[in-house]
Amino acid sequence: MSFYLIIAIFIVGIWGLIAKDNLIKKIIGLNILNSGVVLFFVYIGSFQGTTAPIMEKGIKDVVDPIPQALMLTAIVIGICLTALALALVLKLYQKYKTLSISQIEKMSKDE
Amino acid sequence: MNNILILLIVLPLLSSFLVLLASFISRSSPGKIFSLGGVALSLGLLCLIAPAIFSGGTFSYSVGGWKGPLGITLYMDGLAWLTSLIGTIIALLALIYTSGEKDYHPRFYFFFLLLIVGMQGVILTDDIFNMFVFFEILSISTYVLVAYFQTERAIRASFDYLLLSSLGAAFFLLGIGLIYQAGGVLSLEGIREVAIHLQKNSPSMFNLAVVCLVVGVGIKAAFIPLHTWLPNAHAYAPTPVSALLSAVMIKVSFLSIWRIINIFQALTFQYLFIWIGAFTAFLAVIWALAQTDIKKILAYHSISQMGFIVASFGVASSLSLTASFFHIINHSLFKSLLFLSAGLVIYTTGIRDVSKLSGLGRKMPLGFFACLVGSLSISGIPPFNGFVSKNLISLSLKNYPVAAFLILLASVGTVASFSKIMRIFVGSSAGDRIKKVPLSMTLPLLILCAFCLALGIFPSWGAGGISRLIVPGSFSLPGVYTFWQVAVSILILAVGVLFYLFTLTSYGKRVFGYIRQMRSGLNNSLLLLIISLIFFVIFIQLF
Repeated sequence: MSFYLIIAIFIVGIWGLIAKDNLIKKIIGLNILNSGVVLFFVYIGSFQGTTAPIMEKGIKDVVDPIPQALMLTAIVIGICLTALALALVLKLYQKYKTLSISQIEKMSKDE
Repeated sequence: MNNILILLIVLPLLSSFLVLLASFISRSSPGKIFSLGGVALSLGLLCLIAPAIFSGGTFSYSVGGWKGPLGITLYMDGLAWLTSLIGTIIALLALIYTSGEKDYHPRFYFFFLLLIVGMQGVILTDDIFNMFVFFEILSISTYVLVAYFQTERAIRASFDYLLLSSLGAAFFLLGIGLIYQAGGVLSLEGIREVAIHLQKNSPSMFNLAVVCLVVGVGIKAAFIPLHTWLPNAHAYAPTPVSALLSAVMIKVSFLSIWRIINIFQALTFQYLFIWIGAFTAFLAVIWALAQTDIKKILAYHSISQMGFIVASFGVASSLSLTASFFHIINHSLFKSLLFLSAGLVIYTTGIRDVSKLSGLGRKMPLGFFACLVGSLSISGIPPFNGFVSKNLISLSLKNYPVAAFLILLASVGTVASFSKIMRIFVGSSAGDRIKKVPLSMTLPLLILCAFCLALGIFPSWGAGGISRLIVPGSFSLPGVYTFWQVAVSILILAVGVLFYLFTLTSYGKRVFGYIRQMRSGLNNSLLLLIISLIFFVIFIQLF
């Protein structure tokens, strides 16, 4: 069940990225897409083990910590990308006075 | 000796922070000195290990002392060494050019050095997630550098590139997830074993993983249909950045594909590359012919030359791999030469439109010479380096006549569109004076010219060395300076010039004016990525 949910989130992200006209909504779509991938990794990591991987005496049956560690990195990268993308959108808005990609493309047709 | 691998990544990283620190003290010169110093030191280190690499040695380094398979290992063989070397040389020359062009803010040097960090990391790492991280370092610094001038077009180019590339990166990550689920390893060597297993047990999962990884990186390697971001991004970036992007970044991305396909042994996919490459080479040249902006012409030719490289890679024989890699190196040299001399033209005149320029030959003889060498190289005219690698590529495509024919047409188109660029140097000129060019801008051009000529005159030296480094076992390279091959290249030159004259007629102008209007918007580019991903999955599943 959760696997299909992850696929749904992934596809919603792609949909937002491609079909939305508003630049901010495109970036939100990108974020949803990234969340889908993050959830997928966490889902992979959840197959084995039950306890948190804090390696002290007496702790057995730990979950695989690697997917979570990887996803921390991926989330940080995603934040950097979002920040940069929003900065670019701000600049675009200052130049074109609109957030609609179709209008921006119409305005710069003669280039 | 093994420590050199981590130094190659740390040196530019350290100098990038020094550049920023120094910018608080003084605005102007320290940035240049630190960045030049850092990159020159990297180059020195690479030269230091050259003898060991040429005698067949490999290096590996466990980061932080954590051994594999969980720890991150850096690994260097002949392929990685050559890529790293060519990248560092071009970066150093671009930095020298930068220091003369204008007073860039220290931030520019900071991101430029981060780009080099990402490049070295992608080349050296032996861990697929680490590769993703370095790709993101590479990409994020590229987005910033493309938008550096903050003109409307540059920002739009950067934004388009960011969205497309991030979508690709998400698929790359998904591919990593699929692999990790199947085998629980992330190191490339570990994946090699997992891949064999996976291909047998669940081939559809295997195919999906390979396609996700290849398309995720392929968006940065810019072959058709994943090329849509490249012309704008490369054309509106600052000139040294365009040179570095065209010469190094798309090559590094392609070499990651090379490694991924090698590790997965995805032979059907490799076969598909012949056709992707041939169509890329042909279609991109047609678009290039339709452009008038000098840097856009060059950017479309980067795509077209990638087509040559990709097609030759697809054949997967010893000869074709050598030819492909030799063309990677040659293209890095002559395309950075061309971008830098185009930058020289824009610097001295302030005009980018080739139809508005003429008679520059007398005013800037050195720029004329550099551009001539670059154009002859890219058109494959003897005795320049493009001639050698293009001939090796057409020899390796012997068994695929249709692809070879498309490549031949692309060569003709290349000659035609470079006739268009060279035309700005002849004819009468308006009498206005032009800016004086500092030595630091012309020196890199001369060095690149020397490289182009040397690799062309001594083909066994360049191609032989490459085949020794990247192809296991030895084989004899065919000779390239035979009568027939020289005659064919002269014929291509003649037909190309004739074709250029055709584009000047009113009919040709109308056709190419129409082609120039054909552009895909951002939404269509994103959709194209998804469609090509689905197409690749279906193709690899069926065959």
